[in-house]
Amino acid sequence: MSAGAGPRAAVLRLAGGLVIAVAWEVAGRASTSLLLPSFLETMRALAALLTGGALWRALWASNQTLIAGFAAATALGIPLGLALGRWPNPARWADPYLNLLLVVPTTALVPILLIVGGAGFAARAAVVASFAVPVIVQCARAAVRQVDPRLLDAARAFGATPAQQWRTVRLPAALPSLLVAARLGLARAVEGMVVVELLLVAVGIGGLLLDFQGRFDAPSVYAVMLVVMAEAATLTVAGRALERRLSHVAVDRD
Amino acid sequence: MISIVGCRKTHRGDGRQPPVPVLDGVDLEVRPHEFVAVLGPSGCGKTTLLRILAGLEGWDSGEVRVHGRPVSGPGTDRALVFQDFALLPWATVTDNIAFGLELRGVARAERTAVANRLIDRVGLNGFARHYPHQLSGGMQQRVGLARALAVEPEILLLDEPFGSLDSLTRRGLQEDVLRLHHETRKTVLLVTHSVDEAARLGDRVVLLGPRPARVIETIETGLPRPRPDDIGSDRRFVALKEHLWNRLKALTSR
Amino acid sequence: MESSQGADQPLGAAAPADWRTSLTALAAGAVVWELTARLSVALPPFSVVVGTLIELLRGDVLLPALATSLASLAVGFSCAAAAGLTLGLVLGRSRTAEHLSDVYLDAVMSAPTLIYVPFLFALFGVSRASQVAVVFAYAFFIIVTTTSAAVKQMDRRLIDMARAFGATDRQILWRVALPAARPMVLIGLSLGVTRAVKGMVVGEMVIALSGVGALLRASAARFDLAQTLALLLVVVIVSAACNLLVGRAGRALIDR
Repeated sequence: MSAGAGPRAAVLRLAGGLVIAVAWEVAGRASTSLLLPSFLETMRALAALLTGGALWRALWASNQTLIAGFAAATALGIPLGLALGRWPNPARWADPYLNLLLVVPTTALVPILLIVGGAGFAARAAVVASFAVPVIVQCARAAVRQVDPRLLDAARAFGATPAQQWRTVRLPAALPSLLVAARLGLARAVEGMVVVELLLVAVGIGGLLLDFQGRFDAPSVYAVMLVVMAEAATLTVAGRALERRLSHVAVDRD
Repeated sequence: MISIVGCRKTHRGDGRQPPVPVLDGVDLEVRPHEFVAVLGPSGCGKTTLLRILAGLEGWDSGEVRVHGRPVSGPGTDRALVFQDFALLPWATVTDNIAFGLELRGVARAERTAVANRLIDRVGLNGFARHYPHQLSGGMQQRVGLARALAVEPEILLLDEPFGSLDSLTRRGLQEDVLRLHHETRKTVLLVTHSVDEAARLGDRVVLLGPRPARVIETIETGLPRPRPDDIGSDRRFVALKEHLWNRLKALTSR
Repeated sequence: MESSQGADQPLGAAAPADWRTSLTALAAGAVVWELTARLSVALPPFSVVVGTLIELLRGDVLLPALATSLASLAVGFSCAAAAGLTLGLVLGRSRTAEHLSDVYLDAVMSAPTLIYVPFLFALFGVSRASQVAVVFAYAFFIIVTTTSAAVKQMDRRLIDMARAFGATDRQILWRVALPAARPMVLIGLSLGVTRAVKGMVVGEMVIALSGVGALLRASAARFDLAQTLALLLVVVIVSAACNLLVGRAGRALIDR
C-alpha cells in the first residue's frame, strides 16, 4: 500500500480520516461504556499528554530498550543471515529452527527469558532483540540468495577475491533487501517492546497505558495507543523512504 | 469484411500526463479471406487499432465496422492472438486452448476434442497436459494461435504475435500461419513492425506513419499463394522489402 | 507468466527433500538440549519436558484449555479470513475504497496488535469474546493487505485476453481474477493463521481467563520452567498443524 499521488487520492484520504473521526465521535457519545471515549475527549487527553512530562519520560524509557534491543538484533541477525545465505549447505541444519522461531509466538517465550534474565533493562532489551532476530536472519539470508549469480561470475572472471566479491557484488546487491530486513525487524522490535511492557514489566509506555487503564482514564489510554501507532507508522514510513533512497543508488531491482 | 473509415482516437491523459493522440483518421478495408499486414514503427498506434477491432477499446470518431455492423465489443466472429501470449499460467495447454469454448459453455468432452484436434494441427503433440511455463516461447504462441482458432472465428487478429521470439522460431511460426491461412481461408489482420514479416505474410501491406497513425500507403504485394519456400530470393519480394524499408526510414527520421 | 511457479510452496517452508535434514537437525537439537540441561541446573532436560507434557495430557487441565483455545482460534481465524478476503478484494478492485483507507490501514498495521487490546476490552469486556477478538485482530490485517495486493498486481493482459474471448464480468472474476490471485491469497492465509495462533496465545496471556495462554502465564509465574516449555511445545505443534491445515483447505477451496 504505497501512497499514490494525485489530488483525488489526497481528498479521499482526508475524507476517510473524517469518516473515522466522526464515526468514533458518534460511537463514543452513544456508548455508555466508560471504556469507549469519544474522539474529542481522546484528542483533549492527547494534547494534555503531549504537553505534560509523563508521556515523554515513558517514551524515552521505552525507546532506550527498543534501540538497544534492535541494535543487538541487527548486529546479530544480519551477519548470521548473510552467512546462512552464503553457505546454504550447512544452513540447511538451521532451517527447522529458523522456521520454528518464525512461527512460534515469541510472546510465549518471554516469560522464560524473564525467568532466566530477570526484569532489568538488559533482559527487556534481550526480549526486544529476540522478537526481531528471526525475521532479520530470514530476510538477510534471502538477500544473499537473491544475488544474481551472473554478477558473481563476472566478478570471479575478473579475478575478484572472496573479500572483493562481498564488497563489490554481494553486499551492494543485497543492500535493498537488508534494509527490508531492518524495517521488518524494527516493527517486530516495537512489538517486543510493547509485549514486555504490557504483559510482564509495567514500565515505559506500556506501564503508562496500564496505569491509565487501572485508573479507568479511557481517553488517556486511547491517546497513548495513538502515540504508539504514530511512532510505529513514522518508523515504517522513514524506513521505506530510506529504502527508496538507497535502492536507487544500489542495484536496480523492481 | 472489415471496414474502418476515418478512425480517430486520443488516449486521455490521467491527471499529470497530457492527452496523446494515437489514431489520426485511419482508413482500412479488409476483404474476406484476405491476409492484411499492418506495418508501422514501434508505438505508432497499430496495437490500439487492433484492440479497437477486437472490441477491447473504443474510439473517438469515424467508423469501425465488421460485417457492416459497428464494433460494439468483443465478438465471436473475431479472435485475438496476443504479443505476450497471455496464457493462463494455472491452466494446461488443453485448457488454455479450450478457454474460449469454456466461456461459451461448451461441454468439457466437446471442447477437449476440439483442443486435441488443434494441438495436432499446431504441432504440440504430447504437450496437452503441460503448463505454459514448461513450454518455450514458440510453443506458447502456438497455444495462443490454437486458442484463437478453437472458437472458429472468421477473422484472426494477430498483434505482433512473433515479436518476442527468436528469429528461427519466428520463421517456423510464420510458416505455420501461412499454412493455416491457406487451409482455413480465414481473414487475417496482422500487426507488425517487421518489414520482412509484413512482406512475407501479407497479400497487402498497409503502412502506418508514426503516432498519431495515418495510413501512408497500401501496397498489393502480388506475391504468389501459397508462398514458395524460397520467397526470400524472389526479386519482387526483395524489391518490396527495399521499398518498405525506405518508406519507414523516411517516416521515422523526421 | 512465472507467477504460478513455486506457488504451491508455502512461504518459508523447507523443500520436501530437506525433510530428513530437518528431522535430523531437530533430533540433534534435542540431544544437545538434553546434555546441556544435565550439566546445568537452570534448564530442565528435554526428557523431563516431554514427561511433563505427557503428564499434562493425562491430566484434566491441558485438554479442556486446549479445546477452548482451538475454539477461539477457529472462530477468530474464520471470521478474519472471511472478512479479510472480502475487504481485500474490494480494496484491490476499487481505487476509491483503497484511497479512503490505505493510510489508516497502514498506520493500524504498523503498530503492534497487542496495543489494541484495551480497545477490544472496551467492546467485549474481559471475556471469551475478547480472546476471539484478539485472534481476529492479529490475523485480519495481513489477510486484507495480501489479498488486495494480489488482486491489484494481477496481470491486466489476462483480463484483456478473457474479454477479447467474450468473458462476462462474472467469468472474469471466477475464471481469471481469483485463480490469478490464488498463490498470494494462500500466502496471506498462511501468514494469517500463523498470526492467529500468536494472537490466540497472546490474547489468552493478557486476558488470562482461559486457554493454553493462560496456563502458560500461570506456569511462568510459578517459575515452573518444565511446564512452560511443555506448553510451548503444544503451541508449536498447534501452529505447525494449523499451517498445514490452512494450506490444504485454502488450496481445495480456491481450486473449486
